[in-house]
Amino acid sequence: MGNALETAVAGLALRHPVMNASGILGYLPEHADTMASWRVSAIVSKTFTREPREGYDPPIVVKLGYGGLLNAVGLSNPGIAGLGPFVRSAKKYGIPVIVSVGGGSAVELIDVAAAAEEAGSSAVELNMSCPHFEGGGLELGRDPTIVSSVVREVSSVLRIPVIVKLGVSDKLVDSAARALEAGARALTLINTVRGMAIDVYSLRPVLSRVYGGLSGRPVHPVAVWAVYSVYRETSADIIGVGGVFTWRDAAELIVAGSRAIQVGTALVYRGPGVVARIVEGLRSWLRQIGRASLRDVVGAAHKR
Amino acid sequence: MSYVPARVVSNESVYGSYYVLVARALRKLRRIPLPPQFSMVWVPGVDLLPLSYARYEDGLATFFYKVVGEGTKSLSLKRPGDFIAMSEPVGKGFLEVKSPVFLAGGTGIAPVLHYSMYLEEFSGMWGVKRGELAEALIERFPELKRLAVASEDCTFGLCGRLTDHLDKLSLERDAIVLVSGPAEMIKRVCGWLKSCGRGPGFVIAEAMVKCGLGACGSCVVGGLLLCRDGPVVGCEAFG
Repeated sequence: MGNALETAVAGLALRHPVMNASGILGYLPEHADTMASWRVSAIVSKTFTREPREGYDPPIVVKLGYGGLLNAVGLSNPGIAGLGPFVRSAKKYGIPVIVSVGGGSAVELIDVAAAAEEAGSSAVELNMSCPHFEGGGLELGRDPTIVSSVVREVSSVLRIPVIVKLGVSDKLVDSAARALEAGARALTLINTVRGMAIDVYSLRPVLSRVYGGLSGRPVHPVAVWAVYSVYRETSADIIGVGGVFTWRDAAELIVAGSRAIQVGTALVYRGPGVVARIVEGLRSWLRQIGRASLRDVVGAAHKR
Repeated sequence: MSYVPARVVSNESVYGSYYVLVARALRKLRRIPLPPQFSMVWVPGVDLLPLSYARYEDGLATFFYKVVGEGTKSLSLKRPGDFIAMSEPVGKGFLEVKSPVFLAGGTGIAPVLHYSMYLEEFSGMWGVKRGELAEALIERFPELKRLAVASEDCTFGLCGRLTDHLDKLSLERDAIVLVSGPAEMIKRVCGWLKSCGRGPGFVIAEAMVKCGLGACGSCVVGGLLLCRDGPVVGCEAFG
């Protein structure tokens, strides 16, 4: 009996489908130890940019109470100089290390991606969809022509797989197809969705940057739709992310077309044990529906 | 971080730039803050400040803070009736202490006040720059009389810094020492505890806290996340 939950995405072999979503910890060497203790099958870093970024002033995160989280952290990270120490620390756990790469231009993305490869990362995830990174986030990912040219440039200089993370937009399917044509080995869908919270007593927006990115349970159906739509058109390797709190949420994204999934907000709401619970839940689910392997059910919702 | 709106009840200077803020939460916090937990106090549209509780009872929260920057300045301008918000308590309570010895500097006294609500016995010393601050705060919170005071201007209690008078403490060999205050003071006290084989020494640490959820990773102290694992850390985290 093999491991029913083994999967692979962008050529990376995974013991099970659950990795962490970029954004929670993941830029200091000591963060890697905590992340490995979550029992993820791959460690995904926080987004690194070429230069260090302090991030925005707090409040940068608001817990919304119905399983939602609104954040505008501002991609705080130590820049390229911090990549090596983080990747080395994460690699000692013997699972793939994926570096999330951000930047305002193809040149910057290439610099960071090249540094990630040199540091020994297993793949890069191009963050082309951060809703609160001016000039380097959503603006890049929602224009299919830009997606195509940036992904082509980055892919042409890297040996390790390039994964492209896209957010929801009118042109999601088009952007996804263009990213794949341009050399992306997999897609991560979706990023946070732009949102805002206002305190009705002081009458002020809560986040210091006014608006931010919504994650967690409220975005889950949006993620299921995005994965389903992109898989239908492309049959691509997809890492599904968005509001996965339970094995059922994970299973939905897998059946919609994801080969792996990421968990972010649930780590905040449900604690570090959530990954192991999802993994075990998926194992029993496969048994319940009489399937020997996760690979048999990826995209199963599309089959008639 | 989830926030509970709160209305300012009083917010007055006790001495110079040192303020005591009392605010009533519009709904009770889900978890009662235990010493030395802190909350992120939101000054709407301006800043989010990690403040230790000096008191928390029935939705009424008391904070002792010093005006040091724009955020605390704006907080000091809040008048009774104004709205702020505070997060659910951050970090872990640390109450498995019997008759602890507190060594506090400046506003590091706030968690000691909170502890005094829960402890039968405690002792220690509070170091202040100006004796008038000690005098004013002790008048407001008489339970502080149980601590010795060292004032740098020599106008109240012992003359000099707290760290000049550590040898006056009669510490049992296994006394639990809780240190809070400026980083330099913490280092000296921890160094002293180590050199004379006393302790265990614990620090009520402070750090740049941005999200308070263990997510942003900005509050790493000695390999721990202050907002999740702290605020109490062992003296060894301070070298």
